[in-house]
Amino acid sequence: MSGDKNKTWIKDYEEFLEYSSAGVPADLSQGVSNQIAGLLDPSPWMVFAKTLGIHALVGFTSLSFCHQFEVNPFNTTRSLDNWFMSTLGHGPCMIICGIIFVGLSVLAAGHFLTLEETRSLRKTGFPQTFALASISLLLFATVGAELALTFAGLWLLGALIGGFIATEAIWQFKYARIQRLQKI
Amino acid sequence: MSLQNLSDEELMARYQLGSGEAFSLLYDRHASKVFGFVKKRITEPQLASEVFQEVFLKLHRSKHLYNNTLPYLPWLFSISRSVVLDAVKVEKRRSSEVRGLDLDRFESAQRPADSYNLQPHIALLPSVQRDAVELRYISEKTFEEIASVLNTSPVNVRQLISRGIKRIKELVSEGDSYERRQK
Repeated sequence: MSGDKNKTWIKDYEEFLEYSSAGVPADLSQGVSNQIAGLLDPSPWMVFAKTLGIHALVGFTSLSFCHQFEVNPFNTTRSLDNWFMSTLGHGPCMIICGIIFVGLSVLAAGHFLTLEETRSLRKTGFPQTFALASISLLLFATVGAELALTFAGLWLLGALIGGFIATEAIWQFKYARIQRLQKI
Repeated sequence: MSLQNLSDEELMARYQLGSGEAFSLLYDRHASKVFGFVKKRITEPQLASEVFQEVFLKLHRSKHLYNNTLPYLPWLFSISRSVVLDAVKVEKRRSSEVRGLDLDRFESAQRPADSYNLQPHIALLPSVQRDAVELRYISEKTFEEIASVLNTSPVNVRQLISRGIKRIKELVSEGDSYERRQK
């Protein structure tokens, strides 16, 4: 800050401190309080809508390197699911694919969600992840994937585990970042 | 421990972790400073209210960046000042647009022999935008008056006019480039 700008800043700041008796209209205060209250306690539906949007993008992209139920929109030849299948077998492969498909999306969503939204996601983690996974399964079925009940169940279990781990990870990361800031 | 006894910095630390009560206390302590500061610099009441709200929204959006080993008030002041400066810049730009292009051309639009007639462009605007633009620049009504005529808020009127002006500019520039091509 240059000298003149610095002086102006200090002068403005001193003036700012003097306005301690300017009455804020009650309706204006109420408006601000309502807006902040809404941001501090976001609707789980709004959080779900955000997460679903991100999941649509990330989940779809992830099909390029990990096909789900043989859905391969990018026509790629190599896929993680082949490797899981050959090394671990069908059951574990389904669980790991579920973890990757939903977990990656929730991790990506963490970048866009605020701390409050992440808290809301954490509170309603099970139904949110269950809904994400169910919608995904429905879409896979719509595009022609053959969903055997056992394997779909294992995949769903993986998706729930992935969603839980990712939600906890982003929560811990965001929380720790603020705590770190407070200790500086 | 009651939150009332906490310092601003301690309250801010709680607010960062999502405490609405901490925000309310901080608001009660310092909202009048922000309000006084905004009101002094922005005289139009509606805009001043919007800027005041924006200060607290910006505070909320950037609360995770606050380091509570530093004093809270200068931080709040910096946010208030930057929001006010942004609003003043936008207002200046808006009024210079009005002076530089729109009013001149609206005035000239009233003269039949003039080379620039904006009436055909205005006629192409969606009906609500057209009404708002005409009421503002031809009937010279205030934003509040237009709001009551159109049964909407002054903020919405500003947006309608701003979009209307933008569209007229586009239409004018499309017309200019068409004429250049013809020549």
